[in-house]
Formats: sequence, C-alpha cells, structure tokens
Amino acid sequence: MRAAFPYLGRGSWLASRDPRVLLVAAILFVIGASQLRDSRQLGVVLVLALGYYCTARIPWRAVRVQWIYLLAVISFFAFFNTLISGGRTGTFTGAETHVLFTLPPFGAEISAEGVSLMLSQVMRYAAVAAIGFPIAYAIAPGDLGVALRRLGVADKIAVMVDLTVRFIPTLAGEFAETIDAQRVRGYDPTARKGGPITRLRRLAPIFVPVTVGSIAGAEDTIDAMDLRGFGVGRRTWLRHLKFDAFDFVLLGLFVLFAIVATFLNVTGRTDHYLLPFLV
Amino acid sequence: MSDGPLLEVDSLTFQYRRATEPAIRDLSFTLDPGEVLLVAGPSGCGKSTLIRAINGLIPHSYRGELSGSVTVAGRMTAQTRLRDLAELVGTVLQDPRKQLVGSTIAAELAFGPENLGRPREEIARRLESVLAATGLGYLLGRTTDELSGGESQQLAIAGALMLEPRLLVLDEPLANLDPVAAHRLIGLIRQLADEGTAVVIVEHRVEDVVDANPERVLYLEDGASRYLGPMDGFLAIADPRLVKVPFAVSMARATAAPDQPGNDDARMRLDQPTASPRLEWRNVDAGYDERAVLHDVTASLGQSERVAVLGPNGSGKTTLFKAAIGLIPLTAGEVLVDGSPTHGRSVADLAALFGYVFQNPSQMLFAPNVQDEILFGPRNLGRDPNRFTDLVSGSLERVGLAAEHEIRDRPPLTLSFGQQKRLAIAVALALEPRTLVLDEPSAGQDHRSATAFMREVGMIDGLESVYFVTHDADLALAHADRILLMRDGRIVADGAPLDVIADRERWAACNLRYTSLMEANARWGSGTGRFLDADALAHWIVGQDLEGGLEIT
Repeated sequence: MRAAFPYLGRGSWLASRDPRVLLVAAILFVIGASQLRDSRQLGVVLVLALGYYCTARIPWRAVRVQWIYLLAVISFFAFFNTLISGGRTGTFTGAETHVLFTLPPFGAEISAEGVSLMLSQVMRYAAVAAIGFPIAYAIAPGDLGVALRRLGVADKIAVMVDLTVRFIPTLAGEFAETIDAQRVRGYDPTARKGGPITRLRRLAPIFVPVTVGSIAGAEDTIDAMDLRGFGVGRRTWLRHLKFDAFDFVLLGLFVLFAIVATFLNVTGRTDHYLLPFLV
Repeated sequence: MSDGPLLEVDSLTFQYRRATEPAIRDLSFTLDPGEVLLVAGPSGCGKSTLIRAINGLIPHSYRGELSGSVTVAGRMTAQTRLRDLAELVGTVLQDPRKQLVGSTIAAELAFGPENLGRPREEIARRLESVLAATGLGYLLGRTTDELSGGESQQLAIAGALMLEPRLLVLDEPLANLDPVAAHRLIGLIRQLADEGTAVVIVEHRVEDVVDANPERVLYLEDGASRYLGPMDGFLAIADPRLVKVPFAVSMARATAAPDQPGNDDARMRLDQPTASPRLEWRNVDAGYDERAVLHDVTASLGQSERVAVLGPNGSGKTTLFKAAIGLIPLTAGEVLVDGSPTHGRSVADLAALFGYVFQNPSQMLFAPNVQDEILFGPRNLGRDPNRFTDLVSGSLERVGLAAEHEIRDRPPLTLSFGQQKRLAIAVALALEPRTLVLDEPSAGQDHRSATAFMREVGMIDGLESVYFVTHDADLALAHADRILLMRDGRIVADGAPLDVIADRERWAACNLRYTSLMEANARWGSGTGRFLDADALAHWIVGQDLEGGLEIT
C-alpha cells in the first residue's frame, strides 16, 4: 500500500529544478494570487498555473481522485461564501445585484455578482493547488528537508519533516495490516451503523493497536537516531543544492508575478468583475 | 587511542527504573580490536540490556540503577556523550524498519556522518566504500519504504558502518534475513573483524554465526553470565533445546546420554490425510496495487494436513494465504474452499473456517481485557452469547493460558510476547475454525520458544489442519509433513520435506542454505522415513547403534 506522496514527477522538467524553487514559488504565488480579484486576471493566472503544473508531468490517473476531492471542497466553500455574502462584496458592495434565482427553502438569492465571485474564488484556489501539487509530487524523496534547511529552517525541524515523510508509508502499512488482522475476526471497517459516538468506538480495534505500536516503535527510532549522533551539534547535509539558470528564471517570473499582483492591488486595478453573460 | 582492550565491561549490573530485579548482573569481560564476541541466550536473558549498556543508551536514555562500568576505547560510556560514542560504537537494533530514518538509501546512509558534521566529500567517500563492502549498490535510487525486511536489515547495518566504528554491536542481525543473505552478512562481519573492528553480535541462531568464527561466546541466562570462552567450549556445554547449534552438538549429547528420551515427532497429531482438499488455488494471480506478487499459482492443501510454505523474502508466501481468504483481491484465477469458489464470500465468512494468526500479535490486540479480546470475533460474527463463557474457557485452555493468574481480566498488551502469541491463537480458535493459518510463527521468538510454540500448536485439540508460512527452514521441515517451496510468486516445489530438500540446486536457487540438520536428515532419511528435528534424529541414530556418528559440523 502506497501512502506517502509518490514521486510522480520523476524525470520531469519541474522535478529537475532545485526544490527550493518549488517551495518559494508557491509562497510567492499565494502572495500574488491572494491580491487578485478580477476573474479575467484570475483566469489568465489559472492558465499559467496549469502550464506550470504540466511541466511536472504528474500522470492524471494517479492524482485524479485528489483533484476531484480538492475541487469539490473548493467549490463547496466558494458556494457557501456566495450564499453568505449574496455577492455583495468588493465593488459589488452596495450596488444593486442581479438576482438570477432564489434557492429554497430559505429563499437565498443567487445573483450574477455572487456567481462571478464564486468563479473567481474557484479559479484562485485551483491555481494555488496547481502550483502546490508539484511540492508533493515533484520533489524527490529526502529533498524536502535539505531544501527547508537551505531556506533557513533549523536542522532539527528540517530532519523532522523528512522523518515525517519517511514514516507515512510505515504508518499506513501498519494501519492496513491491522485492518486485515481485524477483518479476519469479522470486523467490518466500512460498517456505518450507529451514531457518531458508536462509530468512533468502532474504530478502537484499529486505532488502539496502531497507536500503541507507533509509540513503541518511536522508542526504537529515537534510540537509533541518538546512536547516530543526532541532535547534539551542527550537522552537514550530503545533498548539495545549487540553483541553475532555469531556477533563477523561474523564480524571477514568480517574483515578477507577486510584484505585478501587488501593484494591481495597490493601484486599484483588480476588483471583482461581473461576468457580462450572467446579466 | 588506549593500549588496553577496546571494550571493557566491569562488574556491570543494571536494573530498569520500574523493574523489580536487575536485567543484567555482575557482567565482566573485555574485547580486543579484531575480535568477534557472540552473545547468546534465551529471550529475556539480558542481551538487549547489555547492548544498551555498551552503546551508551544506558544510562543516557534508559534510567535505572547502574553499578560497575563500561569502557570503550578508554572512555567510560556513562561519562561520554552519545554523540562522541557514536564515533566509536555502531549499533544495529533488532527491528530494522524502525531505525531507518532516511527516505532514500543515500539519505539513510549519510544520516550518521551528517549528524557528526562530517564534510560532504568525506560522506560521499564513505558511502561509496560501504556500498562496495556490503554489495548494496543496487539499492541506490530506491526509497527505504520499498525495501524488503532483509534489505532493510542490510541497510541498517550499512548505516552503522558509515560511522566507521571501532566497535560494531549487532542485535539479532539475522532475524529478517533469508539464509543466503544471512550467510553473506556473516562473511562481512568476519571481514570487518579481520580488518580490526571489534564486533559484538547477539544471536540465538548460534549455528548461523559459527561461520563468523567468533573468538568467544558469552552465554547469558537470567541476566548473568553462564559461560564466557571459546566457541568449542560453548558447543561442548550448549543445550541444543535452548539454542540452535550445529547438529553435531545434538549428536554428541545423544551419544553421551543415550538413555534420555528424544523428542517425540514434532508434528501435530492429525487424522489420516483425506483426499478432498480444503483450499485450492487455480491459476491465481494476485498482488498489491499495481505490483503483481503471485503468478499463475495452482496448488491444493488437504483437509487434514500440516503444510509449511517456505521461500525467500518477498517470494509471495504470505500473499498466498491473504489472497485465499480475500484480504487481497485476485487478478486472475480462482480460489476454492472445500470445493466451492470463494468468489462473493466475505473475509468474515472465511475467517470462521480459517483461523488466521498474523505475525505480530500486537497488531490486533486492543481490548481492555483478555476476555473481551477473545470475544471480539464471536460477537462480530453474531455467535450465540450463551456460549461465550465456554468459548473463552475453551480457547484459553487449548493454548495453555487458562492457568495464568486472573488471565481473563488482564489487559492483553501487558502479557509477555510469548503469551500474546498464544492469545492470538486463542482469539483465532474462538471462531472455531477447522484450519489454522500461521504467518511466521517463529518471528520474535528464540529457538526454544519457537519450537515449543510449534509443538503446542500441534497439540491443540479439534483442529483438522495447520498451514504455516515461515522463512525458518528447519522449523518448517521438522513441523510439517508437506512443504510448498515458493520463489518469485510461484510454487517451485511441493512435496514431503525429505523430497523437497533432495534437489539442492533448487534449494539454493530459492536463497535457502543447507543446514547441518538437513545434511543429517538427507543422510539418514531413508532410515527414518521422514524429516526429524535435531533431538529426535540424534536419538534415532544412537538408538540404531550406529557407530562413528556423523562427520558433520
């Protein structure tokens, strides 16, 4: 059973970038995208973000479920925001809204402004996800820690991040093994009988052995790390990271994006745009 | 660098903080560079505590009452930082998967030298040299979660070597290795010793360590030294029922005491084999996600048979049974139980017929007490509650736990490992299966416990058959009347133990090695008619009044 983020982008152009670029690019992108509100601008940003995503060559089949889940969550929250605000936000505040229809049973109004707002939010978060996915799938195993270290994170924290990634599959394997061990005792992990408390109690046969096993195993891991001198002095990292020309160019583009978005925001050139075909 | 011994243990006694008595008592010995010391003894004899004292975990990480001293290269471990000791002592703990901390092979190997702040160029040089010495270069590029148990063990050892230690401490390093990998490791240990490294190796499979030519053996019982001296002297006094030693030792004991009765046949007492099969695989393919493990497997196991499935790591032994009871879906072929296809039958339904016991009992124990643990299965399957009291008593009785003090009310996780193994079987028996399936029954147990466990399983009343998966060849051959030999997801041999071991080339191709017990059985099998365990065979030979014994060491 595979549980950690598999290195799906192996061999792609983006995977061959310095992992720090992927991390910093995501931060710059969030800074920029969060300042844009105009759905036309966000549409362009989404297309560019998807272009970036494609350079990681992550097979669609392998991440289809994750994308569907993510888009569903984003859409749900965007729709919820629309319901609450009724589309009256930003430049739409105070303006008369163009009601498209009302939703039963409370008669919530769905306006053209609200739908425009919802679409811009979906585009923004989908774009952020497109930039974020390669962090999970296009950074080589073991590179995350060294990248964080080179970005100034403390040695111990960087190693702990690597350690977490390392033990996700182990934990998942133990989880699967425990489920199997209980299934042969007639336990049905998919049963949905009873209320929330009953359902929670039904998880005890899985969570108790996994938790106890993890705690016991952690002791061995700590011993093994102590015995190899971890955590006392300054450490070196075998993996050597170095920016190449492409890394500089890519990073420069993201810096430029953050600057342009900030400029648009500060100068008031990005505000909610009412999609004309909705009116 | 001191001129004295590299390791000096002087009057060492240690009692864990919450324990009622010392785990080790008054141990004293020394070890010079280039020496190999084998530490042997039954489970709970203090071997692991001794290792913790040597590498400094005691007293730095484990608190308790310590008297005496441990000195490595002139430095007392109690007064030396673990970081400084890490440059002197390389340690490999029992469970390799818990000590691999790097996501990739290179990251794992570099971890130690990185912590010690070694320059990148030096780490790269050590990496190259360790990979060459251990032959693990082929693993580069893989992630550690992809490795088999044996590969993980070898990588853990390589990680310790990356520190270029002057003293290497190995806690049961052969436990996860198939025989060929174990033999290769033993060769590496001897080579390291010949190059000047001192090695302490804790192992109850003494026979497998003999090839490393340990200069000395320390035998522990109840935390105290019972023997310290050369291997020959140890073999002269060793009890073959307690530690796994070469067959010649059993032979010598039987010759010295011909009147003492040998073991009965170790196999369980079953009804006469019947022709109709209990479990059949027909052209079965199965695996995990996209990784195929079983390839076109066709076999059938009888209703009244003791069958052992043997094979190297990753050969598909466990997958074979997991696929049979529906834990892993088939990608081709079909499985039949008592003549009917299992397609459409639930795991729970099949569990009532096959009591499946996993390798590690703590993977399933969760209830607040033993009684609830045993009744978890019957409750899930909707069995009659009026029978629950009898089910609990019966199950505990059949595994020999009924006499334990207030056993029903005890939390399962407070039981000893051996008791947990027995409880796991009681849990399976509570479902009243006709067949028991055991996955690696000897895992985590020493020689004496494992053989006793198999013997007890063989005596459980009411079972029609027992199928078990193991990589312990002697255990399989001595406790089964039929062997399925697997390699690369295929069954490559199926027959009686003596017949299966007759083809030595096939045996070697499955990464298995001939043990001295197999040599002896191959030689005397025509007379005994079946594969016997060491004690039974030695007494049989003596009983036949065959002079000269065996020239097997």
